[in-house]
Amino acid sequence: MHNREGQNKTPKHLSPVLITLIIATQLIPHAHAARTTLTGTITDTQGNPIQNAEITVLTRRYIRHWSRSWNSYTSTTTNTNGEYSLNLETDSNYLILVSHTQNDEYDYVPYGWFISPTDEAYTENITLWTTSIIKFDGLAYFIETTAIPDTTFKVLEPNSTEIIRYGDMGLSYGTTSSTITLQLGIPSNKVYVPSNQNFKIQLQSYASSRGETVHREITIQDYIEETLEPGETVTIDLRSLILPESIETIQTQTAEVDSIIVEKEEQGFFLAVERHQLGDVQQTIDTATSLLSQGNFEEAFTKSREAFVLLSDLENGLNNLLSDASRSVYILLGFICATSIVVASLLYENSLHKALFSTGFYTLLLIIFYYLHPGAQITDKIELVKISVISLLVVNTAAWILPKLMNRGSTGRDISLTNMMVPIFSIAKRSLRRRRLRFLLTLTSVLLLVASFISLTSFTSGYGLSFTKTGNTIQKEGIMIRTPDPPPSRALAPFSGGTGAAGPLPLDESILEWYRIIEEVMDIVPRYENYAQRQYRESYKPVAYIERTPIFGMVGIDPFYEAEVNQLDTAIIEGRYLGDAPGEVLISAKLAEALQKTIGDHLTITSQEKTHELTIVGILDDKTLEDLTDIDGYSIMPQKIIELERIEADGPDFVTEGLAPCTAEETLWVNLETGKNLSALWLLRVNLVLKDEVDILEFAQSTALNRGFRAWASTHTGIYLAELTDYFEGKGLPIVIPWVIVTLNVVVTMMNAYYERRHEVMIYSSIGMNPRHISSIFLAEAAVIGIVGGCLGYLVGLGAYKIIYILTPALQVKQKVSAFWSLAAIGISLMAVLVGGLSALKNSTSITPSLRRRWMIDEEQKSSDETRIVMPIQVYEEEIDDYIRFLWSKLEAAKKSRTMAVRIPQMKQFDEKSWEYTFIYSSANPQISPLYTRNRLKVEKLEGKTYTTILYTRGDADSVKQAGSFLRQIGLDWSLEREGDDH
Amino acid sequence: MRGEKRMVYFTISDAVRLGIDYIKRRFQRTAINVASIGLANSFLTSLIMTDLFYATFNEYQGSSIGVDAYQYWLVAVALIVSVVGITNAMLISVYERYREIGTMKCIGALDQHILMLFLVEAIIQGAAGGIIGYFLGVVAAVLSSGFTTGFNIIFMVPITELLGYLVGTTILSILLSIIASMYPAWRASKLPPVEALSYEL
Repeated sequence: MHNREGQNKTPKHLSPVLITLIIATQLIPHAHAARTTLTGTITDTQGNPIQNAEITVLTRRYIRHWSRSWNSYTSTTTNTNGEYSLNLETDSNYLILVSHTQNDEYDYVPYGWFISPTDEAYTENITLWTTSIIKFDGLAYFIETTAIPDTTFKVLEPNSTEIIRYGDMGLSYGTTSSTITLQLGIPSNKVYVPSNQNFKIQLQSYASSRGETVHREITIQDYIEETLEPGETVTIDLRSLILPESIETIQTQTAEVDSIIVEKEEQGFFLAVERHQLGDVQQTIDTATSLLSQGNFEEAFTKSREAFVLLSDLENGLNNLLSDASRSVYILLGFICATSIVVASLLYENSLHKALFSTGFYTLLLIIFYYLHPGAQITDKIELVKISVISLLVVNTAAWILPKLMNRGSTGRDISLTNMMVPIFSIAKRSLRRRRLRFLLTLTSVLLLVASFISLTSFTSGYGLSFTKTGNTIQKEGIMIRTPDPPPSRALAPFSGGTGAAGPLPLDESILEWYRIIEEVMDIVPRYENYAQRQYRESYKPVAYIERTPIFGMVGIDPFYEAEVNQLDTAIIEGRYLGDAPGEVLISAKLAEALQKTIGDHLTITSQEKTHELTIVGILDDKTLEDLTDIDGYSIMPQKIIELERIEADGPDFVTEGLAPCTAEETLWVNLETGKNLSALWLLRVNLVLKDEVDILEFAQSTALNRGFRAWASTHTGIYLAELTDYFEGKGLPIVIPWVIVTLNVVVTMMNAYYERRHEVMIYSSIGMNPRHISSIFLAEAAVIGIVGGCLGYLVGLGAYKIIYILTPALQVKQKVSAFWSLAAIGISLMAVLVGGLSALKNSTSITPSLRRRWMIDEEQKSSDETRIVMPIQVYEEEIDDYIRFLWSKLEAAKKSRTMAVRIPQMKQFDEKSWEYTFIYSSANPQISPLYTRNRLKVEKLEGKTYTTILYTRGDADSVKQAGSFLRQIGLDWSLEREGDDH
Repeated sequence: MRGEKRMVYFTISDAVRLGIDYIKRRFQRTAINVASIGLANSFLTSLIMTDLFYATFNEYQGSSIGVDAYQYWLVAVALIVSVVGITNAMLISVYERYREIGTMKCIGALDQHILMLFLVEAIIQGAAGGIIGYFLGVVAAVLSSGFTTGFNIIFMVPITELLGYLVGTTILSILLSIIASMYPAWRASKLPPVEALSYEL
């Protein structure tokens, strides 16, 4: 824990940091160095000696650098005559500071000089100037960043840029290391200026975050003409200086964005949404300006920060617009081309007509496309023409050559799917032409759907403030602050390639100081915790040990406020609650039991190779403690990292990590004093209790917006989380309803295709097309509707929303010109059509009759008790091994069937050319159905090249039919399997 | 029969009976038709109701919340798409019943009888879709606006107004269904019987 106290506000003594550093000066070798003296008198401007002036000597190795690394060496005060005397070593570098305080306040401008004494004696008589104080209220935060800036105040000569110096010491104050603020031990917002003298103050502020630096410089010129009386204190609100400039900056940026919008609109973009957003920004700026003029700096800052976040996001979006749009042009050209050729081949048979029509239609669509799509207009025209001609030629050639390539000649036994592509498409085409009215109707509804998707829905993504409700239960009203989640680079699990987890990063200590200044905050409740530690096999690393017992969570709390906010004291079952004395610790009952310790016992804790002695003052109930919730609605326990999932691998396993609260048994609770000595603790969360009249939700939002924290607000209506994050906003989601209706429409059409086309399908299957080919016909039809509907719908949609915008200007749709949206449009139409088409797929296979449904037992083959059924399967020499294995696997698989099951399957091989399977095929549950057959299945090569499969089965007529159907199904599966192996 | 005036009677009740018969036979398809018009109607109703609830709420609370206008465009799209879908389904149903229509015409059915047959079917579908859609829409509206206005908002709206919208949207559904079936029905009624009988499906 570092610098927990903040800075000492009284300037009477030099900074306590320096005093503690006296020890460090012992390290500097000076024991044998020669010594010399420095004497002098200190007077005021009238020449009167100043009594009790403090002379402080600081030392360091390198001279002439104002820096934090000065160490305190010695100090003295002047006597009644204003005289002082110091004993210094030679060959050392010193900074001598002279100051005088009255009523805990400097009354002279501090004076300082560097000295590197040699053997001679030195005399320095110094005249001190009386001082006035300028206090800067508020903080010089920037709207551009959430980082806390460093600010310096330089007191300059009125007519030059020279800094006013007293001795070697320039009057430069502030938070950076080059100022004298730290050496003087004064608050960073106090500036001592010479009284009765003219000067100006230059304020410089820097902030940097994510590699971006913000710099601002403001000169206060009020005191070039007038002067301040000795001891006079002037207060200036920093925000009154910085805010007007910030607002001016945004206003300039707004104007820039406005000109970008105008420029893009000239290029053909349709930016209604962006215009609207810009209007919002302008309105926010106006509010900020009026708040500023009312002197409400805090809200003015929040508003201008809000405007800035909105504006930056808008600007980003606009800058990406161009590249998005021009990229999508090429994809769309392809689709337009495909569409025109599909339409041409639907309308014409003759290839010359086809080519002519497709070219004409393509040109027409291109012209429409050119006027509707801004991406086409910004692309170079000659290039656009070139590309469109090339794509037309390529697609046309492909449409001509591909069918020829696909017909690879038949192998004679079955037809592969690629060979069938051309016939399938021509059947699909014929079918669409025959039912052209219905085809057109379906196409219309798909087209309407896509067009309304493009023109009536709006999706925006960006970066900004998100505010969501995360829970209902609350304990106490208040705010909880944490840093945003750690960047993903930290999120890799060690020792494995899995996904890691990491808890939040620590908050900067300076925010405690910042909240102390803010009026709305009543109580600040900081909590120091250790970083989440891993607790699983290869990454087991507790934060501390007590003897052998691992500790995963250590928490440093402010006992009083923690009890107020989280009721931690209610969990005490023995002993007392934490006090403020160092060395006190609370542990849980289970941990006490495991350690066999009780109240008053000492614990030796080993953490980060250091040991600490703590005394147990109270025992907490495990269950009560674990059930306590913090303001964010989650457990108050610190977090640890556990294994969520493990995938075994050859090397290290893949582990997915997750965060979980520690158990009570693994945690120690200490107060802030004790926590300071435990170096593993960091400021991980801060709870704030606000004053009654403050709007908690609004405060959380401005915290998230201004500081970039995640802020949970707990109010009587629930728990809300405010954070700056990427957001996604979708308007017009009810588009799902028309989508469902279109899908239903396609289902109806396809279902009827089943009734209407059963004859057709039967003919196809009887000429050797298998179910896969037949379903491909339906898919081809669906694909044609999908592509044509998607492409035309996209074009119609692009045109439509300009018209709709004219009719209802309130309807703002973000233009969908990026490649993603053009693909989405086609995806939506294909999805609607294919989902509907799936029902047809199912039907088309179930009505394939040739193999399964319609077969009869040849009466002649029926001997007394055994029926001989020849299976309609021919197997070639080279497939026979696969076939034998396939049959066996099918019989094995059928053992588990719940209706008709195979029992005791056996296989015999007689010689190279014949196999026999024996099995019983019967009802799995004889009480329900009495079907029973005993079967022999023979696979033999009788004559010629092919093997035949014959089933000999015994049983009653129904059972025999069942067994035959079963094997026919296996045969059908085989033909599908064989088909699949071809490729 | 001698000397008697021979006449075929085809009353509305016959049309209804035949229509219901057919609906039963092709129940799945009718269900989908009803679903599509019901969906569109429930969308419309939910918007109207949400608007109504908000208006009532605004009256009590003095706030001003409403439904985005673009949603009504989506409703229009949903209605058009469902009309197109029903036309499509009805066309199929005409093709499927070519022979039936032919037979009816042969035994003396007039054009208007056939027309009536189809319109009855359309009215049944439209009414069913309208009523189902209305109640779905009201439930959806209560669910979507309830979090802002409170779930008891529905009791603050006068019951006559609710009933009025029920009648209104149902009539709209029936009308749309009739419009959708108009062309298919007309086409069926104009079928020459000989051609219809010889039609090979």
